[in-house]
Amino acid sequence: MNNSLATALINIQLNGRKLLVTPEATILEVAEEHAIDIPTLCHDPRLEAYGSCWVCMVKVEDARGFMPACATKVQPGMRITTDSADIRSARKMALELLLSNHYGDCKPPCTLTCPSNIDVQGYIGLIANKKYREALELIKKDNPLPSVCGRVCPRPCEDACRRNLVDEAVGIDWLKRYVADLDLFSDSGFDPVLALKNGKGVAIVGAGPAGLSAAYYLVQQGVAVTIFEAEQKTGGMLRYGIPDFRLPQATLDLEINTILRLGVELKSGLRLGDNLELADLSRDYHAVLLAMGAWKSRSLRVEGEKLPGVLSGIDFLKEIAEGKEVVLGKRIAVIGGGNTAIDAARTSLRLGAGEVYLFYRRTRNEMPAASIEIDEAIDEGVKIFYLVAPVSIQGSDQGLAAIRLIKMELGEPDSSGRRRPIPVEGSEFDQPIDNVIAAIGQYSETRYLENIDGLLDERGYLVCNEESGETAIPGLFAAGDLVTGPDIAIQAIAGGKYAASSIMVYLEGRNRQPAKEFLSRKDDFGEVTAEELKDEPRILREKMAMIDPEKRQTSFNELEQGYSREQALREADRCMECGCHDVHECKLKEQAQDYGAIASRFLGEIQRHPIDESHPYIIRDPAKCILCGRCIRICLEVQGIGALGYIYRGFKSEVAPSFNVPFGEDEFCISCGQCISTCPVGALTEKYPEGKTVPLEERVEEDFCTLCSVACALEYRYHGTLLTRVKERSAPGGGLAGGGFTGGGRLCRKGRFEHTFLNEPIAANPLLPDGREISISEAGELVKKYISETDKGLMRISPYLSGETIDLFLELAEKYGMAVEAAGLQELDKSWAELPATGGNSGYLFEALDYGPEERALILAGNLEESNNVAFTEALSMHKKHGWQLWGVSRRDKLYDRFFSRLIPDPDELVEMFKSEAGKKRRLDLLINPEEFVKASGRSQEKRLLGTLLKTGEQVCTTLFWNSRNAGCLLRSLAVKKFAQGKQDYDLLIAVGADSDTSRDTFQETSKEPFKGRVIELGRKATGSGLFIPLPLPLWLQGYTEPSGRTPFRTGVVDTGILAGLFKA
Amino acid sequence: MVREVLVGLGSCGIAAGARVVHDALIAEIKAKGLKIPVISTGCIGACHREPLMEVRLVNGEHFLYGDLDEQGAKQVLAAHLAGEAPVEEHLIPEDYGYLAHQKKIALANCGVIDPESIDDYLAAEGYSALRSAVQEMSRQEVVEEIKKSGMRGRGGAGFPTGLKWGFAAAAPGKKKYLVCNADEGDPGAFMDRSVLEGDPHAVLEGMAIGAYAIGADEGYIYVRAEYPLAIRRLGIAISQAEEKGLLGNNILASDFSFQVHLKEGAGAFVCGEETALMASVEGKRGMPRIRPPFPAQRGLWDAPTNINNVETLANIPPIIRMGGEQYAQVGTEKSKGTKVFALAGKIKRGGMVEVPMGVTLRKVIFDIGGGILADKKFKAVQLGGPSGGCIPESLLDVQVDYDSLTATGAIMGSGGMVVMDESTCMVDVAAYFLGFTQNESCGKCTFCRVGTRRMLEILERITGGLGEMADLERLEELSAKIKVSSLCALGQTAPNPVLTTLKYFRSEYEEHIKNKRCPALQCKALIKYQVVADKCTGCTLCARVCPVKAIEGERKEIHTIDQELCVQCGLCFEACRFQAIEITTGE
Repeated sequence: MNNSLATALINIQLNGRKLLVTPEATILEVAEEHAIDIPTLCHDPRLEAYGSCWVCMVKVEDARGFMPACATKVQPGMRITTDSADIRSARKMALELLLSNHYGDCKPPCTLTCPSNIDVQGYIGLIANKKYREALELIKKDNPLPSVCGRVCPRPCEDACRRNLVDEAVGIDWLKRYVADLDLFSDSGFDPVLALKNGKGVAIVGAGPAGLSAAYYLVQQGVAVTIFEAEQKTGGMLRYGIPDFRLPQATLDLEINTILRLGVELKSGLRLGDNLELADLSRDYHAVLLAMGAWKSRSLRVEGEKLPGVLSGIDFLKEIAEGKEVVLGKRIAVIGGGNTAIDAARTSLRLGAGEVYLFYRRTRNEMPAASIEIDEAIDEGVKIFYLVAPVSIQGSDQGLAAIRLIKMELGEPDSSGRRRPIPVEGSEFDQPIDNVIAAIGQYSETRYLENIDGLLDERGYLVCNEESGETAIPGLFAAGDLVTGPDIAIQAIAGGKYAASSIMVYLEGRNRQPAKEFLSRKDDFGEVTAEELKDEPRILREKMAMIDPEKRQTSFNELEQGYSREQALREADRCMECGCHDVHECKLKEQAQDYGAIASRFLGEIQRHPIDESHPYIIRDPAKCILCGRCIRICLEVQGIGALGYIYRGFKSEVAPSFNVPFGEDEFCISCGQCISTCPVGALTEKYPEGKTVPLEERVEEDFCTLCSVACALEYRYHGTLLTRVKERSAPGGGLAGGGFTGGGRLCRKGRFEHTFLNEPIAANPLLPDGREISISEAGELVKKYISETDKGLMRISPYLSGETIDLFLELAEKYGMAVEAAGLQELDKSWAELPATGGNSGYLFEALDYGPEERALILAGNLEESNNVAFTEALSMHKKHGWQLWGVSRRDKLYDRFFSRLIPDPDELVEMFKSEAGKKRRLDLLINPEEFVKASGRSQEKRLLGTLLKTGEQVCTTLFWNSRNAGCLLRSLAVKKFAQGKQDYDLLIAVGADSDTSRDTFQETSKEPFKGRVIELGRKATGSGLFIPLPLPLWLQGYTEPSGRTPFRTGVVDTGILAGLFKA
Repeated sequence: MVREVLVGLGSCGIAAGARVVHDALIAEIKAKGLKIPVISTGCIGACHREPLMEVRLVNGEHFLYGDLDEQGAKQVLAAHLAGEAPVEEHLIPEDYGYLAHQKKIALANCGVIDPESIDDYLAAEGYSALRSAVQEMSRQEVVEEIKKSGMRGRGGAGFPTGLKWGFAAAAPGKKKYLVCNADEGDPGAFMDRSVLEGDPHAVLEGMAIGAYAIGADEGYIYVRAEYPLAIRRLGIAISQAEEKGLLGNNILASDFSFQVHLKEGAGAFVCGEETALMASVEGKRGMPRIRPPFPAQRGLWDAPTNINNVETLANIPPIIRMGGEQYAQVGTEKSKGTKVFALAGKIKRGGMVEVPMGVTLRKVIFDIGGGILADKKFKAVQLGGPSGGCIPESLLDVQVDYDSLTATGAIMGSGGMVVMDESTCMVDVAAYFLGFTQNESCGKCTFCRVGTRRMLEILERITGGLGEMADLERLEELSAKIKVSSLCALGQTAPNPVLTTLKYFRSEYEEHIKNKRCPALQCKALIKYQVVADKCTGCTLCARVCPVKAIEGERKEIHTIDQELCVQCGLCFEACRFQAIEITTGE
C-alpha cells in the first residue's frame, strides 16, 4: 500500500453499519475484518482477485447485478449488503451449478452403505500405514463391537465396494477383525476417554448389540448407564442366536467387557413386564432406552406345527448356546432362508444329524442369509431345496414322520421387492423327517407396552423414528430389532449409537440434531461402471484361513482363523480410496452444506475425467475440479513457475499441466504442492510416497520446517501418531499465515512431502558405534567417563535440533569443558559464520525495495533452487515485482535455467564479478547455500569466494542458507563463543587431532580422519562414529516461539529425565 | 463516354462471383484496346444483388447494376460503350427502396472509393479531420466535439464515446493505448468487415484522432484472423498512411506520434469483450477480468487504454469534419447519427444498410428489406446477435435507438438483424443462440460456464419432446441469475434470446412441452413425414432420395414411410412433385 496519503479512510455502509475503512481494501477484506462471513471458493489471500466462482457475490446499491466481494474494492459511500434471501439463493445456485459438474464421492460407498457409517477408508488406510491402534480407535467411534462384527457381519460394505468392479471386494470385515482382535487379545486394550459425570442416569433395557452400543456412547459422555437384561448373560441375539463356530462366546464376553469395564452397571435376570416395570424406570432415570430385540418366532401356520419335534429356530439356537442338551433325530428339516435358518442347519449337523435339509420357498437370489454362510453350509453338507414350502407336518409314535411340501414358482415382485412365490397346484410331495426347525422370521414381544398411549400401532409394532430412536413419549427411546424388526448386528449397533446421540440431545435440552451432512456422490450422476476403473491393477483378495471342512461337522470351534499381519497389510493396500482426500477440508462441501445446496438439481452433461496419478506427490482428479483457477494462479503468481494452465473453452474448459501431458511428466513442475494448498476442493491432493494418504480427522501441530534454514511456518497434521500431511501454516481464525512468517504462505517439495521420516520409529535406547543398544544409565556411565578424562571427547550436535535444545547442549558442553561440533558441517570453512549478514538461522529479507530494475541483482548460488526452494521462489517474485535481475551460479538442474537472465557456471567468474559488477549495480544480493556450494564447487572455490565476500563493501549483501533449520544458528553460537571468549573448546568445526590453535587458513582440502573416539552424537540417526543418544521428537521439532497464539502441541521442554540420566555429574 | 467502372470486391461480392466479373471487364476493355479504369471497391451494400458494378460516365451520370455474371457485365459495358440506354435487366434504379431509405455516414465511402488507394480516400476529404484536429484543435476540444455529437459506442453497449475518451484523457500516465475492436463475432453480422474492407482509412483516421485526444502514442487493431481481406487492406492502408506522414512519428509535422499495430485474433467470441481482448493482445488466454479497474485506468500492460469499435471509429472523421452539433442533427434525442445493420434472414433484400437512428423496424424490414421472402408471414426479428433478443410483429413499429430497443428485451447490439418467418421455431432459435454463447464462453465464471450449458440442455430437452412445464421456471430462474452473476457481457446477455422468446412466444414453448408439437414444424423429434395417400402417384422418387431407406412402395402404388427408420431429414418432402408428403406434429 502507498505509505503516504493512502491512509485517508473512507465511509461505507456494510449491512447497514456505517464504517470507516481503508480505500484499497476489497469488500471481502472489509467484511472479514468485521467478522462478517462471505463464502468464496476462488479467492486465496495469497493471490490477486479473480472473480470466477461467484459464490462471494454481494449486493452493492446502484450497481448492475451482484458484485463479487473478492474482487470489488470499496468506494466512498458504497452501500453493501452481504446477506439476503436473493443473495443466498444466488449463492446456492452457484454452488449447485458447480456441483452439477463435480464428479466425485465425498465419502466412499462402503462407509455410506454401512448402517453405522464406519470410516472404512480411514481405518483401512491406518492399517496400511501400520497404525493398528489408531485404526481400532477409529472403528470404535462408530462400532464398539468390532471383533464381533468382524466375525458375523454380512458385510453390506463389501457388496458396495467399488473393487467389485475390478476383481473382488476388499476384505473390509476381516481387516476390521484383524485390528479388533489385536486390541481385544492384548494386555492394554483401548478404552475411550470418558467425560466427567454429568449427573444424568439412563436405563437401557436389553444387553444386546443395540443396548450395549448405546451404553458405550452414553457412558463416554458422562452418563451413568444401567443395563437391565432379562437373561442371565449379556449379548442378546449375538450370544443366543449365533452359534459358537461363528462367534465363540469367550470372544463375545471379552468384547462386551470392553464396554462394561467403562463403568456400565449391569442388572441381569430382570425382564420387562415380568419383574421390571417401565414406569419405575421412567421415574428413576432421566431417560430410558428400549432395546429388547425380536425374539418371538413366526409360526409356520401349517397343520402339525404344534407337534413335539417341531422347534423354533431361535429357541433351538438359544438352548444350544445355554449349553442345554437338545436331542435331535437323524433327519432334520429346516424351514426358512435367513441366517437363523442357516445357523440352525449347521448347528444340527454338528449335533450329529445325518441329513439336514433346508427348505426355502424362493431361490438363492432372494435368500436373505449372507452368501458366504450359505456356501459354508453347503460345504459342510446341508442340502438346500429352493422353491418349496411346507404344507403340513405328520407325526408318528416316535415323534415326526414326514413333512409335506409343495413346489413354488416366482410371480411378480411384492412389497419387499422380491418376487412373490406362488404354489404350483398339485405338486405336493412328502419328505420323511425326524425334526422340523422353523426359522421363517421373528418379531418383538410388545404386550407389556400396550398400556402406554401412542407407543404402538394397531398391529402391535412400536412407533418410533428409525433414525433417531425417538418414540412418542419424551425421554423414551428405542433401538435395535425392536425398531427395525430382525436385522443384522451392525444395524442394531448403529441404532444404539444414534439413539445415544438423540438421548444426549434430549438430556442436554438441545433443540435438535445437527443438520444432515452434505455429500456429493458419483451415484447421483448414474451408475459407476467398470470402464471407469479399467486401469486399476487386478490384485486378488487375501484368503481367510479356515479349519478343515472335515473337522467342521463335529466341532463348534471357530471356523475362521483371522488374517496374519502380512495378509492384513496386503489386503489394506487393495483399497482404492474412493472417498475424497479433501473431505474434511473441502470448501465446496462446507458451503453446499451451509447453503442447503442440492447436488442433483441441475443434472446434465458431466465431465468424467480420469484421475491422473502420474505425479510422484500429487493426485490430480480433474473430474472434481471447479475451474476456480487458484492452482494456475498460485503456480504462476506466487511460485513464478506456471506449470498449470487452462485448455479448451466454455463448459469443456479444463485445468491441465503444460502441453496437457500427464502431470508427472510436466517438466515445469517443481513439486512444491502449492496447488494442493490452494485447491478448495479435492481436485488436487497430496500423495505421499510411502503408505497410503488417508483422509482423517487431523490434529494440528504448529511448527517451523526443519529441513532447511528458511524455516517456513508450517503445520504438522497428525492423526494419532501418524503424520498424515504437512501444510503451510494457516493464520488463527482462518486464512493463511502470510507475510508475518518466513515463507509467506509458501512451502516447497521438501517441506511438504519429505517429512515422512517422522513416521519412522526413533531408536528407543542409546547405541554404541557397533550398533549395540545400551541403557540410558550405561550411556550415562560412558558420558561420565568421557568428561572425567583429560581428552573429554566431542559433542556432535545435530543442526536439525530445535534452538532451545541446541542451547541447552552447548551449555552442558561448556559446563563440562567438552568440544562441540556441528554434525554434518565439519567440512565447511568456519569463516562463513563471520559474514556480517548471517543475522540468524533464517532471516533473509529483501529490504530496500526502492531500487530500480537496473540497480539491483539477486545472485543465487549453491543449488538454492533445490535446497532452499522457498528462498528461490521468493527471489523470483521479487524479480517479477521489481524487475531486479536474477543470476544463477553453479546450478545443476536445467529445470531452472529459464528463470535466470545470466548464468555463471564457474564460481571464479562470480569472484571476478564482484569486483567488476559491484561498480555498476547499486546493490548485489548473494543468496548462497555454503553446504551445497562446497559440494558442487570444492573447497578452493569456497575459500576464494569467502575471501572476496569478506572484503566486499555494503554493495554486496550476503545471505546464507543451510540444509537444516539451525545450522546457521549453531555455527553462529559456536563462533560467537569462540570469538568472544577465546575458548578453544568451542572451536568451530573442530577437527579432533588438529591443533586447536589452528587459524582458519590452515584448513586442508583433504578431509580429516573421522573421529573414532569419544564422540557423543545427539540427533535422530546414528552415524556409527560414537555414542549415539537418540533424542525424541519434541527436542528437534519446536521452534523458538509460540507461532500464532495457539498453543503448539509439543512444547519445547527438554526431558530433563534423559539429561539427568546422561549427565549425572 | 465511360469514365470508370467500379466492381464491389468486398468478401460478399467475391463470394457471389464479383472477381470473375471484375477480371472479365478488364479483359474485355483490354481486348477492345480501351483504357477505362476498372476500380475494385468495397461492399456497395446491396448484397442480395451481388455481384454489383457501377458505371460512371464522363458527364457525371452513374448507373448501378446487380445480379451480374461475366456475360451480363460485358453486356452492360457494351451498352454504355455504344452509348446505348442502360441495360434494364440488371439496372438498380436510383429510387430502389433498398438504397433510397438509407443515410450513409459511416459507409459513405464504401463501394465508392478504392479501399486500397489512399489517394481515393484523400480525394474524398480523407484525413482532413485528422489535420484539423492535430493542427487546429486542442486535445480537450476534440473530446468536447465528440461529446457534442452525442455519439454512442456502436459495439453494442452504447456507452457515450466522448465520455469514454474523456476518462482515458484524464487518466494519469505517460503511456496510453488506443485499441480498435474489430473482433466482430456475432453470427450474421458483417458491418465491421465491410467497413474495414471498404474504407480502412476512415478507421485509421478515427483511431489517430482518438489517440490524439486521449494522448496515446500506440494503437492496436484487434481483428479476427477470419477476415483476411480486411487484414490485407488494413495493412496496405497503414503503410500508405505512414508513408504520407499520417501515422507514425510526428504526424503532419506535429509533435503527435501514433503507431498502429495489427493484432489478429484467433476467433474467440469473448475476445470482443474489452478486458478479454486486452488479455489476448498481451498474449494471454482471452479471458475477461473484473471491472473496475476499467481499461481507461488500467488497460493494456496496465497503461490507460481506450477501446472503440470499428463503426464508432469510422464515424469520428465525419463528426470532426461536420462538427458535433451538425452530426447530432441526425437521429433521436438520445441516440445520435446513423447505425449500420447487417440485414439477413428470411428477407427479400439483404445486405449492409445504414439508417438514421429513429426509423422504425418496420421501415427497415419492409421498405428497405422489401419484406419477407416468398411473401410468407413475418414472425420475428432477432437483433443484437447472441446477446440480443427476438422482437415480435406487435413491436415492429418500435424505433431503432438504444433505449427503445433495450426496452423490448433485445438490444441494439453491434448491428446484426436476422428476420424470421413463420417457418422458424422460436425455441430452436433460442437454442441456437444459446448454443453459440455457451460454446463461446471462456469458461471462467460459474454461471456462464455451467449455467448456460444447463439452460441449453433444458432447451434441447424441450425441442426433443422431453420438456416439462417446470423447465420454463428453471429457464427463467437460471436466466435471471446468470444475468446478474456473470463476469462479463457475454454471460450477462446470454439469456436474452431465451428470455425474449419466452416473453413473446411462450405459447410456442408450451406447445412443445404440453402437446409435443412444434408449430413451425422444425423440431425433428416432434414432427413426422407422412405420405398423403390420395396425392401419391407411386413415382418412387421419394423412396429413391431417402438416405435411410425408410420409404417403401411399388411403382404406381401408394408409398409408406417407416417412422422407426425415418430421420426427419425432409429430402422426400422436397423431392415430391405432387405435394404428397406432409409434415405433421403432435401426438
